[in-house]
Amino acid sequence: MAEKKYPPVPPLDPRYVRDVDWAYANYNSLAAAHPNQWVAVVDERVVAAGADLGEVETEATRVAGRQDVAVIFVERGIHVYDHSAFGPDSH
Amino acid sequence: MIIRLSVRTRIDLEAIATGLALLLIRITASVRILTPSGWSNSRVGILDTGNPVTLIPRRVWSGASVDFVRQISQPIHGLGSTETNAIRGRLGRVTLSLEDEEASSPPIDTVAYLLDDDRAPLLLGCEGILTCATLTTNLRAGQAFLEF
Repeated sequence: MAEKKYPPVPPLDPRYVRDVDWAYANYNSLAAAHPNQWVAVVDERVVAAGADLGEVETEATRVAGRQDVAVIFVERGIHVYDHSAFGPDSH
Repeated sequence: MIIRLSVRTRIDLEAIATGLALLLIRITASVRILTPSGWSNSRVGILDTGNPVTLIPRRVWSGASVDFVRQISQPIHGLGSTETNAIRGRLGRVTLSLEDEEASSPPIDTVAYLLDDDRAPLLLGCEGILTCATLTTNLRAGQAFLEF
């Protein structure tokens, strides 16, 4: 069987990296203002927040004028994610 | 090949109000997902070693190249979840790549839960991620990486 071909992975945009770092450095203030929401940061500034990731990303890319924008899910308090491999009605 | 992860540490303000200095730590990675036209934009993924399968929010997988393994959405139970509030999703095959500022991982063909909505963040589980790389962490030093 022929080996599967993939397109090259683009390099990370340093502006994206900087904004993600800024979001996590300011996490507690973001959690106070936007608990359990998606928060978009462009140039170290919150440009959109809400429960709808699509709306948040769309607004952030519009403001930034680029595709790679920092969007993180801001948890208020402690969230523990866990699940069984298959739910009870999986069969 | 080594992909550096980010160790994100913050203080739990609610705990510190009770006199407890509790650190809340997440390990994150930059993730792209393969789409019909190339790789998606970068997203933040949370490494979750307690999670058997990667969870991908709807917005993230909706533009991706997806091969559904199961067509029926099923509840995915977490701690404290019930039948009515459990997040739901379908199992599907996707291709991911993790990257840092210097390198990107080989494409990772994996099975993931493709969520019905965006109520949970992108969680990188064991299958396909930790089963094909070696995870090294030194949280005391704020360091973590995956070696593929």
